[in-house]
Amino acid sequence: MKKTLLSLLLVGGISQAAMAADLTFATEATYPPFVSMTADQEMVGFGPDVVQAVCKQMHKTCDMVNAPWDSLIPSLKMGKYNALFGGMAITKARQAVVDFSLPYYQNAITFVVNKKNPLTISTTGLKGKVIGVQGGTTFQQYLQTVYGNSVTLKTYASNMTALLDLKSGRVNAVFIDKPVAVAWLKKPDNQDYTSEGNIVDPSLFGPGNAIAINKGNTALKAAIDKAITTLKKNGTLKKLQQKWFK
Amino acid sequence: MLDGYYLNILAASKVTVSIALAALAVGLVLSLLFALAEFGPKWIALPIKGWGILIRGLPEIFVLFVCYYGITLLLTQTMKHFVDVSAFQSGVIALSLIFSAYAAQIFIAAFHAIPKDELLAGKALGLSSFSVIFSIVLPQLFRHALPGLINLWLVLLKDSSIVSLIGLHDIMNSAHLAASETFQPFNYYVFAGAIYLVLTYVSTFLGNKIEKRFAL
Repeated sequence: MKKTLLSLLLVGGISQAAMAADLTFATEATYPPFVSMTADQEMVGFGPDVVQAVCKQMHKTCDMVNAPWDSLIPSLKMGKYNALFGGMAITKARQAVVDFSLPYYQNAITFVVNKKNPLTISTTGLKGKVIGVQGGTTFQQYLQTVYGNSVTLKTYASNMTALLDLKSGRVNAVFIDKPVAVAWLKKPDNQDYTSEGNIVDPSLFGPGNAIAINKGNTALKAAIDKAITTLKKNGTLKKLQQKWFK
Repeated sequence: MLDGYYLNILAASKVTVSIALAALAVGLVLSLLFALAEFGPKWIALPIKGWGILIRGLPEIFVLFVCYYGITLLLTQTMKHFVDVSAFQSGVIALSLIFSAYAAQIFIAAFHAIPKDELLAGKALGLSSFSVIFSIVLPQLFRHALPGLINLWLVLLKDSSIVSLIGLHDIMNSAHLAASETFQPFNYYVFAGAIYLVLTYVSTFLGNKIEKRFAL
């Protein structure tokens, strides 16, 4: 009896080891349509599809893990994960601590506003307006750089809370990723709102979203870069954008 | 009406209850030790007292982050390879440390509430120190401490929601995931709040039963 138990344990251990994927990718899955969790606890979105495609190109099996945003870079550095994806935009501050693959997505950003109070996107059009934006992001820096003191910024922990405040009227507009705005505007409760502008500005937003890997992990960086180049060339990235951002 | 997300939040109450119960078990043992230490010699009593002041003086979320990020970092650097302290383990450590710092105060107050004459009377009747502790001190200790401990348990049960910030899939974390996927925060958070209400109501009900059982 004891032996069977022991062998069961051993087999369990081995099969688990065999099931473990070659690479573990982590992100915070609270950002549809880029990445989110379904009711069946499955990670879906543009990001996971890109990672799957990259892993297929590399002939590796990959696990995707949902973890708190602030823990991602420290955990990557300690070796808990092999790579990070999702809303990982390449910034100078992040480049100081991790390495990035080639970008696979260039942000397009928009203002979400109430249809009754449309905005003209210019320094005069936005003068005196209150703009909601996710704090600590390149979006916040962009608004500060371009509009300075002529607008009042209200920073939020998430896009969701910023959009809630738009609905309750505390902000005049919310500055978010275009695909997020499109997904939000599709909901029947949000018919009174619309999005204005489609801002693409690599000089201010940086080169785009990429996969973050540990500093000095050149082999993995080279493999991921090669995969992303292929996916760009064969149109897979474009196809995935159309699938998720329409 | 009950889509999969509601079921996820309901299922996540298992995580909330188990982390709170684990923290309660560890916390009760720690707090009794801390309370005892305060009656011990100075070289034990003073550091323990200082520890209690430290924990009670720091925000809960700070203690949690130190346990989750700090312990992993420390172990990883000393062992020279990645050592994972899971979110559940860190959560239990942090919540039990917080719980024990407050519960120790309740036990100390309960000790003081036992008339010293009763201990002397017990000794005068020829009871051993062991019998004095088990038949006179402990029953009264729990009777005096119970209302305070039940209160602390309610606080612990609800404060366990901070573990959602270290990625543990408790009630609040599941509600947050559901809300961000569907852009419908109110439905899911209200549902999460209702589960907490049920849990705390059941706790209060059971607490009253226990208090009655221990009453004179």
